[in-house]
Amino acid sequence: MHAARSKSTLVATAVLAGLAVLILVAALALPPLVYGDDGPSSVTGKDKLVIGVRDDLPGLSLRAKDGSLKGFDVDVATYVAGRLGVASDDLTFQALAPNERESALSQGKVDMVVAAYTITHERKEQVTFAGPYYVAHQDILVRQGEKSVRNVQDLRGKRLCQVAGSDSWRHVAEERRVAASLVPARSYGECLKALAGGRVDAVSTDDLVLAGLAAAAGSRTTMVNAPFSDERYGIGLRKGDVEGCHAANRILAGMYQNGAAETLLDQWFTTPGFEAASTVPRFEGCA
Amino acid sequence: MPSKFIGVRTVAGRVRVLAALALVALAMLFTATGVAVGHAREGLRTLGDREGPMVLATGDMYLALSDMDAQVTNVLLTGDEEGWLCDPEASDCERGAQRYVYDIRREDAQRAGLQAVRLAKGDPVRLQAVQAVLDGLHAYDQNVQAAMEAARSDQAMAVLPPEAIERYRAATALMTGNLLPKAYNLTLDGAADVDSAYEDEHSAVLAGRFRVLGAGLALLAALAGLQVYLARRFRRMLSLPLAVAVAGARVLTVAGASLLATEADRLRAAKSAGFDPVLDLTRVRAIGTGMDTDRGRRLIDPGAAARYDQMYLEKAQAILYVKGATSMDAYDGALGQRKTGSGRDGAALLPRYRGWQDHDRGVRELVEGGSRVAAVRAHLDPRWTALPHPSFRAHDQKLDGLVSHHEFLRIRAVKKGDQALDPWMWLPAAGALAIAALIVAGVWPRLSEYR
Repeated sequence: MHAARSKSTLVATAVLAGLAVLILVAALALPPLVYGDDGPSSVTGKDKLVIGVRDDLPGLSLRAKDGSLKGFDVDVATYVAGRLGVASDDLTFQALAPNERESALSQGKVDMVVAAYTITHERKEQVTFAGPYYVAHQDILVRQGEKSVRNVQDLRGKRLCQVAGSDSWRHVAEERRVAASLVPARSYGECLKALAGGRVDAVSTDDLVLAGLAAAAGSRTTMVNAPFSDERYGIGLRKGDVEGCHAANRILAGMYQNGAAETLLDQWFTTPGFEAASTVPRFEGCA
Repeated sequence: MPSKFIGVRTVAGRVRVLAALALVALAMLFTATGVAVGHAREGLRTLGDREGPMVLATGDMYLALSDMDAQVTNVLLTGDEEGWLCDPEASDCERGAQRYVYDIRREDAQRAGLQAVRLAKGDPVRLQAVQAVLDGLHAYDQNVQAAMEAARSDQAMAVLPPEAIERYRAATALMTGNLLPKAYNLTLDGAADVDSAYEDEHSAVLAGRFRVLGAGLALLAALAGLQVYLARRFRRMLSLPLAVAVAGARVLTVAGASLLATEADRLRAAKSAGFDPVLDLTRVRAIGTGMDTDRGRRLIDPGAAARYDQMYLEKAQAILYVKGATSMDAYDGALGQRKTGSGRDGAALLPRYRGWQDHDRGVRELVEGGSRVAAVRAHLDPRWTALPHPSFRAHDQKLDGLVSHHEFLRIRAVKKGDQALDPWMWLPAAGALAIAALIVAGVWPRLSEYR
């Protein structure tokens, strides 16, 4: 009787003591798991990066004859990646069509998109944007010596190049209801040839693209310099990568301060009648 | 058996191990409470008196800069350049009200710049950004001065000479394209710091609460084990000191855990009902001021009308997004049918915002119909042209009221949180010491029976 009671006492005590130890260990070990940082993986923690770019925009990102991609977007991406600690040898550039950019990010095919990627309300629901690293404006490119086009309204009755898959012509013909006659083309490179050959009178899209076109050797074209929209080129990151977004914004602020941005803009977009902005744009915010 | 090595084969050994376990749990309860209280205090400091207010000051800088450009635009619209250029100390003239507002807002912006310097904590990129804004103000002043001198005329609401328009365009481009973005980015950067500090402290308080509950439960289990063992082994019904220790442990645990839960709520309130809305709504106020100024800019500088109209539309979209609206006509049409606002306090803001846009549509129609002077008059207050139109001011005042309201909520949450924390500077230590003494008092007489 006494032995049995003593034994049950011992068991009860041992159970309580074991419980106490268990709870103590759990209380120490669990909170960091429960309340720790569980955000999605950030571009800040990677050794290698895959960057989505365009391959058809002169000056911004164009495939060169040797197959490599060259342009302002490529250089900005390389700069940002470098400051994130990823050397250029560890970067892979992947060409993306405009409609592939969101899915490539969300499916993890690319870590970052730097591809004349305009920040919009709709896209922000799927993508976290750092930047913008540049605010482009839609402008107009005409043949040298053309005096009759001073602003977008003057395109009334002119032949305007209409590139398949681009919204730029809509901003003229639909949103501003300027009755230009549209001449279809496959790319802005083709538009440039048509403009030089007299088959169209004007090409209208983002000023950086136009500056890239105008800078092409022997283009004999000039920019009107009548900007009429803001296209905020952002760095697309996976939705929710707030840490990467802040890091990229700080890098971009530094890139404008130390003159690297101006050097790159001068390098890619030197053309008469166009001066790229050399001050840091207002960032979109990461939240 | 390992029990041999830690001395639990003897009765005295078992009592000692149980008491030691209780004391370890108690030490952990004390430490967890103290650490979590420290995090709560730190979080409240961040939102209440350190980074939080400084970031809000940089947000005010953005608004102050927008206000400055609004005053300049108003003077060039109304033609009160003499009042602007007047130096009351040098000659007998009357300085315009807009100039006074401008000077005051300029000082506000500079003061906020100093706050931003303190906030930057030696970060070179940020320090350089603040410096660039303050330096840029000098260049802005010079362009404004030149525009005012070139625009001098006896005629109210006159069309400006090209030289004045050129200098005005340079000034306003400097403000909207260079200084405002930099000021905005400084606020974003500071807010990101506050966000991450808040996240850290808030989750540390919640984790602390978890630890306090765990340590408290462990302490109770250990004390119960001790109680059961002593009662059976020594045939005592109850050890009074241990019973009091159990009661004390319960009180300390429950009080500590509920304090931490309350503090986590206070932190959340100070952040999401205070700091965040104050920052967001101040931004909306600054955007609104910029929008009203865009309308003025268009009236001053019709050559760049398309650009200013575009800026107006983009700001409208930033205040209240209307999907697919690519012109102000489409935007206004959709706004008229809109029943709910969006974003922070959207419903409270919608009626006045709509009233302002309704009024602005009239201004737009006048200017598109070629009645420039009528449009200028309609754009400004009919009684005193130094003020913006009452429909805009109603919207602005509503925002101002909401900002004050949320600012009050932020300060109140911090104050209440601080007050609740005050006794917890000494309570955990005193409680832990008392409980430790009770445990020793409960165990000592039994152990002494074995000496």
